[in-house]
Amino acid sequence: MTEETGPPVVMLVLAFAAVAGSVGLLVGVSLTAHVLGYLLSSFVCIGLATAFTQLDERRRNDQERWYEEEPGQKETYQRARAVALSLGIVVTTIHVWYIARELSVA
Amino acid sequence: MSGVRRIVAALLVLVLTSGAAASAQDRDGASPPAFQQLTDCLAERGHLLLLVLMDQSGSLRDSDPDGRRVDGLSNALKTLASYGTEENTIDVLFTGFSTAYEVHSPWLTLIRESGPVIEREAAAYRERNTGGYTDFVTALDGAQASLTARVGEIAPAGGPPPCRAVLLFTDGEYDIRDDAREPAGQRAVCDPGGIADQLREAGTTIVAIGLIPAQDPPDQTFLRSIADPSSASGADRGACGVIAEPAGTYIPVTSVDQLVEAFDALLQVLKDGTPVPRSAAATTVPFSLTTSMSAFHLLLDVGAAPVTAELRAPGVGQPLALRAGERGNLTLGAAEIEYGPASPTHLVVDGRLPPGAAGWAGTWTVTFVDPDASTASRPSSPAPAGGPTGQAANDPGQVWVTLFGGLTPVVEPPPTTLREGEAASFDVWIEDVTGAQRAPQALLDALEVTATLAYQGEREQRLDVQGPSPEGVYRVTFEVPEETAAGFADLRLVLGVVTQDGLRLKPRPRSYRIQIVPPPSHPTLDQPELRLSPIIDEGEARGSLEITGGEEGGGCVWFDRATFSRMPPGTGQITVTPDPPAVSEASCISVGPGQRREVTVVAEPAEVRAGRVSGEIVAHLSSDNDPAVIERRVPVSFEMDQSRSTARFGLVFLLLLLTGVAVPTGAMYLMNWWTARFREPGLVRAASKRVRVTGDIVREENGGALRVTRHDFGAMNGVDTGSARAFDFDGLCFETKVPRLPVRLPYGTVASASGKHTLASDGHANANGTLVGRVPLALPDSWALVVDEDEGAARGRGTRGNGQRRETRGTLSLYVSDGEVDQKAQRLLSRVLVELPAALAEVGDTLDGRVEVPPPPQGPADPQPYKPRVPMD
Repeated sequence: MTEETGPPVVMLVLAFAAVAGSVGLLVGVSLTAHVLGYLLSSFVCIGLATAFTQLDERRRNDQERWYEEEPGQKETYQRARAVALSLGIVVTTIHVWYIARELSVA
Repeated sequence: MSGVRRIVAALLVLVLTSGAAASAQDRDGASPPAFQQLTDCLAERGHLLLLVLMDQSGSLRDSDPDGRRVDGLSNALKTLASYGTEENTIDVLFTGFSTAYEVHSPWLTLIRESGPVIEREAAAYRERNTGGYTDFVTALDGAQASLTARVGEIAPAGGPPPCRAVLLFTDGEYDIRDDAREPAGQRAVCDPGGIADQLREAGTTIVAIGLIPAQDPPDQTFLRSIADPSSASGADRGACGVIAEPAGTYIPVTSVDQLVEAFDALLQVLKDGTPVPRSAAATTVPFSLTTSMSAFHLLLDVGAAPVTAELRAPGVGQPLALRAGERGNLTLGAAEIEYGPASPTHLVVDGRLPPGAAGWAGTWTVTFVDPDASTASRPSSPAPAGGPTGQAANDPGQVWVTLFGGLTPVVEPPPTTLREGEAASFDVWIEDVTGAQRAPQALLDALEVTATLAYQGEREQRLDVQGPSPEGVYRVTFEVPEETAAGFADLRLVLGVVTQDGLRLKPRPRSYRIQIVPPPSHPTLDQPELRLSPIIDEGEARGSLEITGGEEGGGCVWFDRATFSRMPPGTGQITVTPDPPAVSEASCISVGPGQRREVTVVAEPAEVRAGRVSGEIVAHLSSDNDPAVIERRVPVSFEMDQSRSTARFGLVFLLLLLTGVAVPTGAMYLMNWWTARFREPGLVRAASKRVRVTGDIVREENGGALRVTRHDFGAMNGVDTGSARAFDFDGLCFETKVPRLPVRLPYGTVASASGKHTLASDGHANANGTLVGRVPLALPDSWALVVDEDEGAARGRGTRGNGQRRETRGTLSLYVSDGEVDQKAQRLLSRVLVELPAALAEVGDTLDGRVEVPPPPQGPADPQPYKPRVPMD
């Protein structure tokens, strides 16, 4: 019996969660909060989106398991990944503004 | 101090009554909160920092080619220097902005003789119109830094900080070099704790004048929200900052003429004027002066036509003829008149009304006449005796009249202390601008004095006001509560004057901060509040407090519970320590009866940020003769600021942004490169078949149905059984590719070793005119076709010219993994039967004429193509 598999949605959800957490940290007033937000929206978010892509592709090519997929699902996940990456870059830019402002004190 | 009340008040009122955007509700002379707050501030502190922040972008060359903004600014400041500095200090800083914030001169303290300096500084703005952008964010950030630095210069010892105002003029909307950074810039201004909050936190009133050209009007919503946070209503307007006071104002003007009028209105704000409601355009405009007044101000628009304005005083036969561009001063009807140009088409007239000479009281008129017309004709408008000297102008000019009250309520002698638990009463007198007392009964206007008292941190309460007595004195009486921790109370007196014409002059407030002292048995704090020195970048804020021993015995004082209700975000804990360290009853500072001692209070924030810090510290007062310990809440405030390096900001911003985006992106690319390998290609089973594809039918080359079994598949001998970045097999070259965009995944390509077109299961790409197939890195369940022959080239696409379908021949390679090969082969074959014709149809254009077609069978040569005959000369 061939085992079924599918896209690693949890990775994508975590990427969105990282961006959401980073947005939440925008209201923070401390440099630490902005640095944390910066890490979440850049490294963590992009890393998770990358991991999602790699893992998804690996599962698709896995000959030992049957990849379960609805029509149009691949495009939907690709769009979601693009949205997560775009949001991550925007939020990263905002955090960078605050951090640079803080660090530019003469 | 009566002059204090003469400076400041309601800016927008006059602007709106004079501008095209005038609205009825603004004509009642009601003062916006912004200017009431500015009035109160200047009345209390007597010092104003006015920072002129002028747009220097290139768009001004179109919107204000004649530099009329300079006329308006120069005139307003000169009049401010003449009338606004009698009992106050006004410092002006000329700055500008475009892509950067520029300070053009040191702070200028206005005096009556400052006119030439003002003209020179203002005139320099005429040439400052070459900037590329309109960066409000940088401008306001710079303005905040300049104001804070000035405060640090003039109040280093913790004296009362001056009032602050920023006058921002622009003809554009927020625009910086990098559009993508505009949202971030807006957030830097408007986020909680942002630049707008920092400015307001420090008590800065922002007045923005927006020149809106008729063509391509800019969207100044952002500018409006910065200046006036109360304007943030509606879906299209976002609030800017969370601190709403002091409210500023935004003044839109649609022409350079209105700009002159707007700047003139600014002047009236600082002079506490009352605009006279305007009636319909008329040749003659009357206005009444009463003995309650001290001055009047006229702004006349005589237009480009040669219209003359005649100013006529009551009982004076000869009017003063006012023409565009003229300047002068004289006495008219006992009033001291000074007039001059505000622009090529505008005149300003200022009249001082000496209290001792009432000859100026009565109805004055401004009549617009055409001096070139016959004097035989008289205007239909009512005119005083004498009448105009020329014919009424067909196109009358405009006049804006502002009146200034001259009376102020004062307490004599000025109150200094209130003792808790005791009744208090004050005598309130009415003073004119010379400081002379005036009896209300002798004035024709209606006067009303109101008094309110607000204990520290509590709401104000209205007090009972009796009078006036036959001597013209009002009496205010009230009782101070027995137990109060308030260290002071603010007494506010307001004189309301309604003229005989029903015009309500701007109320003249007067405030007194009165210290509340404990019973005589306890020590007293000599200052009701503590203003500490500002902190720039680092250090601590310091201030001193004097303690005086009680009249009836010695005592002790100690401090605790410092709390700060307002501070810039990120400031963290603020540690307050007294020196000597009296922080408990055991370590209290002892003072003998009547003895004075000084305590230094030091406040040290965890982090220095930009903005104002305010709070209070509790002082405990004990007596040697009384067991009761009295608490006093002492307000504590100081300012902080940080100097920033723009270059460092840019560098850090770029580095972090590149790191945050480029590093993960680079890591993704590296990961793609590392994983770009065919997985165990040597273990894949491969089959090869000669096929012929006719339309959407795939057959074996001999015409039979395409079939594959496990016997057709064999091992890929010679190919690496591990992972491989590239390998050759059966005339095909397999390679891996890493996409430039790392969000895409690596893939494999398959190409014919002999350079023929190759299609494959995952698509194809055109490499220098030859099709190359695309396959997954895990080869099983994929196929590739090397095209040998395509007959669609000569006969048209898809079908032959005789209606037969297009035919393509080639070598089909199939790949499956080991185990259950038959099933996998059938599954793959079913895909090939669908995918292969579709792929060929898609690339038909490329195959046409490019496939190496075998030579045709021998037979009659094709006819030569037809060539038209070209006639020979």
